[in-house]
Amino acid sequence: MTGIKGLIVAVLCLWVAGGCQQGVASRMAIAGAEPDFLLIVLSVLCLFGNRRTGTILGFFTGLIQGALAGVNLATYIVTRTIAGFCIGVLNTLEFETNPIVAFIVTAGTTIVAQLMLMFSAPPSAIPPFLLATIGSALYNGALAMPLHMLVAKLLDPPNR
Amino acid sequence: MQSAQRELNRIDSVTATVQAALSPIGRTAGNTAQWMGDFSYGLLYARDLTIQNRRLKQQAVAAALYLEQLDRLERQIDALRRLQGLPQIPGRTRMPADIVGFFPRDNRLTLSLGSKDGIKSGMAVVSADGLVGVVQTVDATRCQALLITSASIRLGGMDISRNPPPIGLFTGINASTLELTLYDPKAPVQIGDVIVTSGYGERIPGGIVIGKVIQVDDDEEFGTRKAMIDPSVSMGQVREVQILK
Repeated sequence: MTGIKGLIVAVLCLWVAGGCQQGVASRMAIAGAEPDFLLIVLSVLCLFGNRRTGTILGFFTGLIQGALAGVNLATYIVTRTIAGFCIGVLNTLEFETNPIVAFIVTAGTTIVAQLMLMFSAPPSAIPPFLLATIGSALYNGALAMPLHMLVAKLLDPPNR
Repeated sequence: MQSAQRELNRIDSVTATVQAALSPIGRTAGNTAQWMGDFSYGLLYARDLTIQNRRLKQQAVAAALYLEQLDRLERQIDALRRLQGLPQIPGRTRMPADIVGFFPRDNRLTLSLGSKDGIKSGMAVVSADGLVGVVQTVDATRCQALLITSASIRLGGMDISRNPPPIGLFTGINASTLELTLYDPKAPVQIGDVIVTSGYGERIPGGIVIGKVIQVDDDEEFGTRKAMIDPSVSMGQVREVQILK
């Protein structure tokens, strides 16, 4: 994911994801599990980039998420930046990305990012948070599959 | 920077910029989702909705008469308080606000009213079911409210099912439980009692429903009595709120 095209796709995806996170996420809750549109976009876009792209995307994802929530801005930035970097590192391995990979990576990223968030800004009750995280991970994974197909059509194959 | 501004009850510039940039798409997406939900619900339950609508119209006529009487009595109370040199009771004006964003993990709501509309930090946010939260940070055009389920909240509550009503401070435990620490360790609180706001604060009026007692615990070591409360408002279901000015 390089060049102007990649930048436009990334900005557009983050903008729409931020808007959806603000206005739609809570309405789409299933059994207490809500989608995290920003993490979905981060995971999918990072699959088309490298470590540097992942880190930058992670930073902006955290910035948007923290600003929307109005609290824990630094925590969101750090956790999302680390998550983006980790996907970037993962992406240096030789494997072909497809919707199934997007599901696994997004679900894994959700769990890792939320666990980091849990340790740095502990929620009031941990067991419900963990259950909601598992639910969100599956939900995010499912939503990442169609997004991956869309982004794959828009962007060139990953440059490893 | 964000925390420092929040302590001053303001929204920092980064947060304000990002929220303003995302607001159009967020509002459009929210309205679209609402419209689709309403449309599909209307298709599925058209007959029930028509019957319900007819009943509600009748109730609205009856409520208008009651509200007129209530308004007259409130004006009388205001006049008497003025004569006695007492301050006005807060929360008389209800300002309907849209929920622009809901962040359950952070126990926060972003609302569509701000300082331009006269909103100040500490004002109560209510829904038809009861107290939702308290305004914490205020921008020119929007504000953020802390939900009553937050562990950072401390508000006065009283048990109106007992006479005299026991009083205490409540705080959030998790998304579905609040904890009321009673001042009197022998307070006769029982399961099923209704807890409302005490009204001893500067900006939150008394009598707003908080929830029902679901458990009473005694801590013999510290000599305190605590009541667990099931909030009357289901936070995930709230769609419209009002800010009490």
